[in-house]
Order: sequence, then structure tokens, then C-alpha cells
Amino acid sequence: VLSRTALDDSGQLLQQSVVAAARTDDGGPAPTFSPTTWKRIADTGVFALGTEEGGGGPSDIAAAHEAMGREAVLGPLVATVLAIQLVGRDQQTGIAAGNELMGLRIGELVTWAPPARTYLELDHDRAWSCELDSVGPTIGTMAGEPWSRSTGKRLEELSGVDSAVAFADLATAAYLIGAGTRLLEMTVAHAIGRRQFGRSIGDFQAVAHPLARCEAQLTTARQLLYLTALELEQTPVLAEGSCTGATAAVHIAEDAALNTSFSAHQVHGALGFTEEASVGMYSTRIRQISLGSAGRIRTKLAASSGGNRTAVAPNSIPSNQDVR
Amino acid sequence: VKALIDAQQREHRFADVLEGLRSFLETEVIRLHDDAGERLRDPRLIYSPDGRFSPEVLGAMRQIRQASARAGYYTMLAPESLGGGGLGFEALYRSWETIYRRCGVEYWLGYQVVAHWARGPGHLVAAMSPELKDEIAGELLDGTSNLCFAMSEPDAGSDLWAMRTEARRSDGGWILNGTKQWITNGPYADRAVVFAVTDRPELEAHKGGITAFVVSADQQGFAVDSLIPMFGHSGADEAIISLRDCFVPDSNIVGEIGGGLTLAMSGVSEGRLYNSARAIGLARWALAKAVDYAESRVTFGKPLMSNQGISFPLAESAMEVHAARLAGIDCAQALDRGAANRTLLSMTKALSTETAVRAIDRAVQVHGAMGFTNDLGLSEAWQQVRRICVADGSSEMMRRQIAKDLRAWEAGLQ
Repeated sequence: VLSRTALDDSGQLLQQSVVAAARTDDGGPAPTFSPTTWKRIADTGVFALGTEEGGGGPSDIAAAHEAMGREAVLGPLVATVLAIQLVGRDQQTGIAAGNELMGLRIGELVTWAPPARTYLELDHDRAWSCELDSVGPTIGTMAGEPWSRSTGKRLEELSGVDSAVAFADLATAAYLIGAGTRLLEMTVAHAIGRRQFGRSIGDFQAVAHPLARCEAQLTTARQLLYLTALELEQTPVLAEGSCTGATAAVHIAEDAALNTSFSAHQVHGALGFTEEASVGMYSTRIRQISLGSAGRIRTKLAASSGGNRTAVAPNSIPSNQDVR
Repeated sequence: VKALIDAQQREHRFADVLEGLRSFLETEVIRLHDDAGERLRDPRLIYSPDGRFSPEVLGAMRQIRQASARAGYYTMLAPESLGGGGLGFEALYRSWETIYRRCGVEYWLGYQVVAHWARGPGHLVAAMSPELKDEIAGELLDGTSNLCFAMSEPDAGSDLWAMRTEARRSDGGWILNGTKQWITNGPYADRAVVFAVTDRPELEAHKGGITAFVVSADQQGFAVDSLIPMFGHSGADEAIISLRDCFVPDSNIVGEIGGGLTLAMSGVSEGRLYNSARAIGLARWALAKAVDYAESRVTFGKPLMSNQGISFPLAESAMEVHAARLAGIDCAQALDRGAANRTLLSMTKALSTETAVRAIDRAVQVHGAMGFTNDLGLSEAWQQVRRICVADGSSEMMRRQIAKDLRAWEAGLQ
């Protein structure tokens, strides 16, 4: 079963082209949002994945976002995945091409506004397109995403939210796994190269064992991710209010990536906190992207545990309206 | 009974001091921040284009130090032999906890109110020669100037025995050569306390061989090579410092020749208690913020706090903070009795800093998207406490120490 989670040639090619588009000149992640990089990534076609026009499916979305996580791409990724699934075909083109940036309204906060000009609001299993009355001054955030405060109103309610959220969860899980894996690789390299007390610090079990645990968690999370993507491919239309394996996948990926961040900082010592090293950029981006789904995950998984199933699969979970 | 009475008297004495400290924070620090508004809030105004604090910020820091020195808080922990209050470790713990609990990360000038052991008049200054003390103690005590503590090196962090900076004998003094890294206050300090190898065989035998010297920042051969912006900051308080044939007279030796390590370690021990108090102060600040928000924010028709998914993690934080705080106060009291050991300090430091990371992380989560905005300060607090899981001895080094002394520690418990 696990061999099915290995990426085929086209998946690997997709990842290579995303990495090539996302990578900065110095090979590290960009400290701030770059419209040029965003456009370059869009040109690979990844933002159109999962649409009629763009082709591809959940496995490709997962592969692309894993690659973006590896490069710690800074941009409105989750909002883009949600939007491309929710909006009409005429609007999809601009988003897919990287010309139209998406923001999410969360209470009085709006993510990516500016530069985003189009907005969505998500409230559990309902979503709306939105219009803002005004956009306040930029508020910095932990991960370096520009947000702002604003007032606005909901315009049109959008359909197909469960599927879109499943795709967004899948993309989030993939990003976390990609970022976590790259961070772990950097950390292992540092543990081997850095010498204290006359030997590599990786020779100390207190350094090596936590990293081994991260490796195990990330590997498992990755296998769950791609198995979930395969399941979603086989069951593309979800019943209203149903829970998907993507919920579980993002939950497991969060734990793996957050643990990796913690260990990466501990192993890098003071160096890991410098702006020069990119450890902090990975860890803050991992922490911030781990926020959105928490409430939904817990509610959905709690609801699913009533159904005598250990695995959470598409369409397998009864409606959990009453639980919410 | 006597111990109980002593403890109560001590508690009472601290109650007055802490009450005074709180009121100083309100009238001097918080008012100054409120008056300055964005100038002390916006990173683009706090730092100059070269990444250093702006002259206005450095001036405000000095202003707070001097006002606090006049009020007596700045020097209350400094040794009595220097003219300080000599209040001891429990006062150190409680005052830093009070400062961080009240000031959080918004009113960060509060961090200047009490002299830090490595930057102000502390035991390092008490160990200086009479002529050096005459020269610098006055301006350190009144908050006009300050120091930086230059021990870490690129390849000698936890492993002090790998130190490379060398001091070579010369006429009437020493010639220093080497590079120091992660030097907090390095870009701004008037003088540095530099640790250098004076006896290589002693160092190689892990017996000592390190000496501390005071080097003036305008001394020829002393240079701030670069600034190190840390974790989300556009400017820096940390620097890389180089010493190139830097001459230091004999009178600038701190303590004994070869006795640098003992001096350094007693300072680092003080730093571990300071960081424990800082972590717990910030954890309490974040926990209070989270409780306020969870009680006032209504979703699905009820306050957030009525969801166990929100309230139980906060209860968890309260339990952990209480335990770590008691460990900190117990450790401080033991240090005051002269009975503390490195094990106790290591336990306190790792427990407090890791507790604070969890408590602040939960506070971020409770605030939802708001928790990640720079406006709220939780993001900065998270980064601050995450850093001190490494600074002044990493969590791993603390565990190493605890593990080494486990048997003796267990046997010593009553």
C-alpha cells in the first residue's frame, strides 16, 4: 500500500519545476513576498490544478505544495487553493495566472490585504465572496504575511465548500511536510557539521534521537498525505458536511512539522534564531500555517470517532452538524 | 519557626519593593511608551537603517536607567560593596518576574529598570581592581554607561574549552586577539568584559586558563564587525566583535588571572535565574491575555472560554506556570542561603523556559488569527522565550547537568 505513496515521474517533474520557479538566487527562502516569484510559480500551472482547465488532481496538488513547503514559499497559498475550487471559471483564470491574489477574511482581519484584491470568507462549511469597504494599514504577522484590519460585507455564498476545504487541507498538510522535511535536512546537516566537545553534536543521543523521531513522524505524515490524495481522487464529490481524510492528514502533518521546528531550533542553537539562517523563516511559517485548521480538525475528528472507524476516509463519516 | 518568621519578613520586605517597582513601571516606563507611541512601537522607527537602535531609543533606554538609578531600583540587586542594594536572588527573581509580567513585550523599556548582571553594576564589577572600579563604577551605578559580556565564540558555545581568543603578555598589560559572537548589547556597550585564554595548557586540561578583561569600545583593535538580527527583527541587539592586537593594561583584569571561568559561570548562573523569571513573567502576561480574550470573545453564542478545547489548555498552562514559578522561587531562596547547586538551577531554567514556550504558544492558539499579528505581541513573546531555551545554557546542557547529578540530588531530597 505504501508504495502507492511514492511520486511517479510526472509528480517528480512537477515538484522540480515548482522548486525551480520558487527558489531564490541564494537558495534560501525569500524574507518577504515577491510578486515575481509568485508569478513564476503560477506559470508552472500549479494554481490551476484540480480545475477542468488546469487538469491534475489531489495528488498533484499535494506534490506541488510539498515542493512549495520545501522552499518555504511565502504567499496566499491556502486562500488560492480554496478560491480556485470555489469561484467561477472566469475568475479562475486570473488566480491561476498569479495575477489576482486572494485574501481571507477572519473576523476584522484580512490576510494578504494588500496585495490581495479579492477576498473570501470561510465559516466552517460555508463560504462567501466578499467586498471590503476599506483596507487599514498593514499589520505584520509572525510568518511575515502582510495582513490588515478592515470592514466589509459578504457578497455571494459559494458552493462546493467541503471539497474545497479538503483540497486546502491537503495543500496545507503537503506544505507542512515539505517545509518540515527541508528543515530536518538542514538540521541533520548542521548536526553532522557542528562540532562541540571534540565531536559532531549529532553523535549525542540527545540531539540524534529527537531528529530520528521527526523523520519518523514526517515520513508517516507524508504517506498519509498521498494515500489521502489517492482516496480523494477516487471519491471526488463529497457529501455535504462529510469529513475527509485530509482533515486527519493535516492534523498529523502539523504535529510532525511543529515538532521538527522545535528540534531544529534546539539543534541549531543561537544560529537558528538569526535572520541570516533560514530556520526561523521555516519555523514561523510552519507555526502560522498550522493555525487555521485546528478547530475544524478537532471537531471533525471528534465527530468521526463516534463511527467505529479508526481510519477517516472520504464519505465515511456521518453528518456532524449536530456536533458543531 | 525562625525560618518561617524570616520567610514572612522577607516576603513583606519584597512586597513593598515590588509595589514600588510596579508603580515606577507605571509612572516612568509605561507613560514614556504611551507618549512616544509609534516611535517605540514601529520597528522602522526603533532601528536606524544600519540595524542599530535609533539614537532616540538609546536615549530613552538611558533615561529609564538613570531615573531608575535615582529611585534606587536600578541598583537594588547590585553588590553592597559597590553601593548597591545587595537584595539577593529572591529579589532578583521576583523583580524580573514583576517587570516581564507587567511590561510584556509592549513596554520593553521596562527591561532597563533593573541592572542586568552582565550589562550593569554586578558581581563582575565588584571583582574589578580598585582603580578600574574608581573609573567606571560610578557611571555604571547611575545608569549612564553599560557593559557587554563577551564570552561566546563562533566555535565555542556550550563548549567553553574550545575558546580561541587569546591574551598574550606585553609590557604593562596584555594583547588580545580573537572573535566573539552572540554578544548581547555588543553594538552599544561602552565597555566589554572579554574572556580570553591566558594559559593554554590549563585550558586543555579543563582546569581553567581563562581570564576576564575590561576592554573599552573605543580601544584600538576593538571592533563591532557586524550585527546579528535575531528571529523576525529588522535590527539587532547582538553583535560579532573582533579583537585585533588590542592592548589591555593589567589594571583592566577582572578578578584573578586564570579565574575567568569561575567569574563567568557565577554570572551565567545569575543569568539562568534571570531567564527563568523572565520566562515565567512573560508566560503569566500571555496567560492573562489569553484568559481576557477567551472570556470576552463570543463565538457560536457563547464565550470562547466555555469551550473545554480552549479552557483546558489554559488550565494546563496555569498548572505548569505555577510549578515552574515555585521551582524558581525555591531555587532563588536556596541561592540566598548559599545552598543552591547547579542541578536546581538547571532544572529551574529548562522547566521555566520550556513552560513559557508552551504557555505562550497556547495563548497564540486561543487568539486565533489575532495571535499571529505583531499588534498583539504574542508572536514576539513566543520568539523571545523560544530563544531563551538556548541562551545562557541550552535545555540540552541543563539536562546534561541534571543527569550528571541525579543520584546526589535524589538523595538530598527530604
